[in-house]
Amino acid sequence: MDGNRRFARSQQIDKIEGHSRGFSKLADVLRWCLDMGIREVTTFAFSIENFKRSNEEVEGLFNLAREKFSKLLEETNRLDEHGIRIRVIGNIELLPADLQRLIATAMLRTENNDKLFLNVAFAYTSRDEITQAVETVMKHYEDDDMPPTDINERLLEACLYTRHSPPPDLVFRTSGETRLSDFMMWQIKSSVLYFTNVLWPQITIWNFMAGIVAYQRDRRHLEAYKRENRLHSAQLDKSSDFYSLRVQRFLHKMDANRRKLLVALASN
Amino acid sequence: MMEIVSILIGRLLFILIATCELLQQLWHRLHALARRSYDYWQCDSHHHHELLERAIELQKLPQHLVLVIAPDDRYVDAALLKRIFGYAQIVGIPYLSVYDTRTPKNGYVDLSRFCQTSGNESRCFLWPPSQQSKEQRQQVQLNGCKTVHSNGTTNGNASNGAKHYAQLQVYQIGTADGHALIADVCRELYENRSTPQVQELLKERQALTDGISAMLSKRLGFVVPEPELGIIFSRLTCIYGLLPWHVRFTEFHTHRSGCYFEAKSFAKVLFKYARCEQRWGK
Repeated sequence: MDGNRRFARSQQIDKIEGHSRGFSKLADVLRWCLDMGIREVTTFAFSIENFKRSNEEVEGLFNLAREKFSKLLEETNRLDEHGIRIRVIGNIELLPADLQRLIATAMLRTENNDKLFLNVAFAYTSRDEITQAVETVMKHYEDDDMPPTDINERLLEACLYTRHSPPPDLVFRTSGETRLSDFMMWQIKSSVLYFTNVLWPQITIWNFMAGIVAYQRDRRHLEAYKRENRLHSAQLDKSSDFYSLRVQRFLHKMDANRRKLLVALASN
Repeated sequence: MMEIVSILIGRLLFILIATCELLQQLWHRLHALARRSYDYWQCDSHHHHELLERAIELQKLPQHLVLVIAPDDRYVDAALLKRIFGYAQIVGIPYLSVYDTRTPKNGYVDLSRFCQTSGNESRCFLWPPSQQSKEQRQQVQLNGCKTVHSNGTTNGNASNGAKHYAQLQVYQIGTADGHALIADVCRELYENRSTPQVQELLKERQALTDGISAMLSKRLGFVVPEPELGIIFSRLTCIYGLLPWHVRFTEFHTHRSGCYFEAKSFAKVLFKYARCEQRWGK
């Protein structure tokens, strides 16, 4: 969702108003995704790098997030009706306590929904996510005295924030930038990347569909590569006993700990 | 009824797009053949050098360039890579990495065949190999002497304008250097978890991040900055698992498989890179 501030400059409006328009555009895009049958969307809302921005802008973004999450919590019936689950991925402990509470509440409130998934990357960078996965293995794996041979890329992948999501098929970046800016670097190894020059608040359904058509055109060239990856993954699972009781118990404990943290943040 | 019509329209659209793609690919191949033949007969390297020397004047040039070759690419070979290395050398890019995802049967290029190994690292090379580099220098010295006698030039340039360029440091990256390497680092940290050094890293996340960075650089033999610019040789834009830890801020440019890659293409990529603004989150 890149280009909110450039859009604000071009329209001579405040930066926060630009971000607000960007959020409205997100709502439109999610509607288009729903209509097209796209079941899972991950959006990059706030990077850990964005903390370097001015206090005014950061606080403005947090206020926008507070407003939107509060509104979401008022509409949980609608979310339940459509089976939408909200997941926020990132180091949410870096955020103000009240925002952590709102985010944790939204996640817990929709955790039983399983038809559509909206993942919001907030206080997120891929490096932090990978470090978090390594940290999880280092701090909790030894509790059950696991052999080091269990540790491989498959296990690390299962410790990422996106543990329960399939890898993205399409990465759609606006505003003409052709870099990934530390977004899901581990997960997008076989994703089609689509870069468009349009600024995020100005995106139309035609821009969106151009991205979808590009994905449909390009995905067949990735079939062989994806098949190889799946085979490699299956081989790793077998060689490292990924589905053994001890590894699955570790992952289950990790999920439980994460939920416990959310419950603690929600009642903070 | 409407559903069937929609499906039919969708299928027709697909056939249309596939036909356009095929025609486009044919056009690119014909164009590549024509350009290659023209360059072969014209031997117009002077023009290419001029184009690239204009690129040297750009305010922003990458220090580290990475080339990503898709598993189904059939056009990137040793000759093209040598040309690209030459362009990078002229422009003054000191480091270059090659990430070839193909298998030896499908065109994988082994850099050790035409590059000189550097030190003990099996993945680190120098280009051109020192014999070729020595010949380049001797050529300059010989021609330089003539230049001194004939027109008094003393800047080391040959009378025909040939310059001496520093050797390029080239890295060959494999699929095992991405996700698997990060997992290896994690395993190593886990095995040494009781040591004070690792315990210190676990106290703060940033310290652990820095520790992982250092360990990855050591294993890769990377004493270079992270890649700033990447050229993907593929029919689509995908990074194919390239160094997930290192390419977070790399600007990617896709060069469509089958299209001719020449000095002009390289210069265009550099000009585009010079124009992009990196905000680092701010």
